Amino acid sequence: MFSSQLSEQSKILLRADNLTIRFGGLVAVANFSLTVPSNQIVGLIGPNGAGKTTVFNLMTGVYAPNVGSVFLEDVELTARGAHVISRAGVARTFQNIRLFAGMSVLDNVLAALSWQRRGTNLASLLALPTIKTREYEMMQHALEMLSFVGLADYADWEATSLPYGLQRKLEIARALMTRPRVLLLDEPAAGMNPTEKDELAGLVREIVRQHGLGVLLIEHDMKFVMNLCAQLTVLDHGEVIAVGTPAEIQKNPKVIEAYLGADSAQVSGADGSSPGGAQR
Amino acid sequence: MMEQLLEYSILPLTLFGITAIQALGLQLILGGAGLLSLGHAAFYAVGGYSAAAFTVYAAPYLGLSQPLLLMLISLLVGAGSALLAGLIVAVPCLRLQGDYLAMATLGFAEIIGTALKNIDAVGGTRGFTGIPKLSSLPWVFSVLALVWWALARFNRTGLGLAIRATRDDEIAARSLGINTYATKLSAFLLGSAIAGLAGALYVHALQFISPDEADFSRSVVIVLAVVIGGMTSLFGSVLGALILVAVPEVLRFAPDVIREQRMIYFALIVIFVMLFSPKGLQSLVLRLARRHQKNESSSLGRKLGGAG
Repeated sequence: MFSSQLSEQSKILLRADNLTIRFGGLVAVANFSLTVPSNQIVGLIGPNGAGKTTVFNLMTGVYAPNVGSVFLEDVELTARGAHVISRAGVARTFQNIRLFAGMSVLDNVLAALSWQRRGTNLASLLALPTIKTREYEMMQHALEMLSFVGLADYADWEATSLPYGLQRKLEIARALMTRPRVLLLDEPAAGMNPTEKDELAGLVREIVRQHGLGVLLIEHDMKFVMNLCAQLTVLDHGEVIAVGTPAEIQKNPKVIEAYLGADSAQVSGADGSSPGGAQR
Repeated sequence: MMEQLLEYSILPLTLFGITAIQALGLQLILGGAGLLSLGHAAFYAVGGYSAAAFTVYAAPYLGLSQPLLLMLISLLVGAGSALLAGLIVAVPCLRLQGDYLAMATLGFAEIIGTALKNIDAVGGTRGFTGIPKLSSLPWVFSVLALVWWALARFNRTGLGLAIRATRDDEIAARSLGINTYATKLSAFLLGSAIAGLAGALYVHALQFISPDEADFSRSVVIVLAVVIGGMTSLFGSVLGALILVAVPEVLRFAPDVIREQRMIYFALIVIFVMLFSPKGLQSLVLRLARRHQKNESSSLGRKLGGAG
């Protein structure tokens, strides 16, 4: 398979070991482990409320785990500040889109470069000529990124006035501006029509091909996930119930049970149909 | 007659300029960073008292007497001391969310007001007198123009962008590598320092400052100026300051009954603005200006059409 060809030249980038987090008495995620290699798209699936987004929040420093650790290659990221993790090379998008509402599409993307401009604030305040080139380069970079995701014509739109599908693409563009090694996508295809989903799948493949990123993907659309991912991890009630290739996962009785309930395991297990059918 | 009118207008114009500078500082904190500071006047008073204490006590000792140089240094002293006061309040408080910062700044303003009333070296409750006349209307308007221009530039810098991103969505901002704590701190300190500049201008223009300047009601006036004018725009803050200074001046000629209720009018203005122009009066003014322009060009078009 194409993906296994890729994995030969890839190395492990992001590694989560044994992550556990409790909210009061509720264990939201328990003993969660996962690796994201470079040049590969890894999927994280599971029924609603399984703890998928909590895993993202643990990996990106929104929550600190009670137990366990997160590494990007040799750098430990466990419970570091979210901005430190982002600077280290882990970028993400959000399930409930989090764009900067009062800002233009271009400014949303430029915001990702803002901290890299820290040292230049005084020069740019005084409009020194030296800064003009740098500002011009950043603007160029931002516009290139917008055209890469297909938003070139919308640069001066207010971000939240974009159609839903384009807002999701803008979040991806914004995350890519941080030059990540690993990109975490939280339900990027939610609310998209089939054409948009196909475009998005192409875009994600292109991101991996061009930048050699590792991508971790949460998604409910099973067709989308099965087509895109080389490896899947299935989460249910905060625990990993299966790990494997899409083909293996489709046949796994535990997975079918989690999605369809215990009785369905024997019925639909044989034909290997998409467990995502239960979502609708 | 004309001369008298000009002379009379100097004080209100000076006060307008100073209020506008204060409002621009608060605009960065409230409109830019989305932080509610209810003690902005206290930072202004800290700047004013420090600048005055510098020129009255330290300058003769240092042998400084050149007025221009003295005023420039006292502006730095005013801004610097307000920034330092901002640092003391903000470092512990900015870790708190929303309303707590408002309460902490309110408490800080009370402390400053009470402290000033009890320091005899700066006049206590009687106020600080005998401050040399170093600034004037041109000084105030020069600084106002400079602050306005610098903030307009600042909004386009990386830090300016980070401040607005943090206001809009803190979690998203952090996910992009923005240190939101440092960002909010910078906005708060910069806004406080600008208030300190206004304080230094005030004491050297009026040659007097009293502890009342740190009062809560003074802070509310600045918040009102920013909200009425339009939180998201620099022009709005200056416009708001104009209204806040102009209304009491106009009411000076009205009967006592009406004049004494001026805070009620401001409350009514706020309700009116929130109902009809939530982005502040600046957006109303801009809309009217645009409509006027359109009408003018269309009437011009009709005239040209009629001629042809």
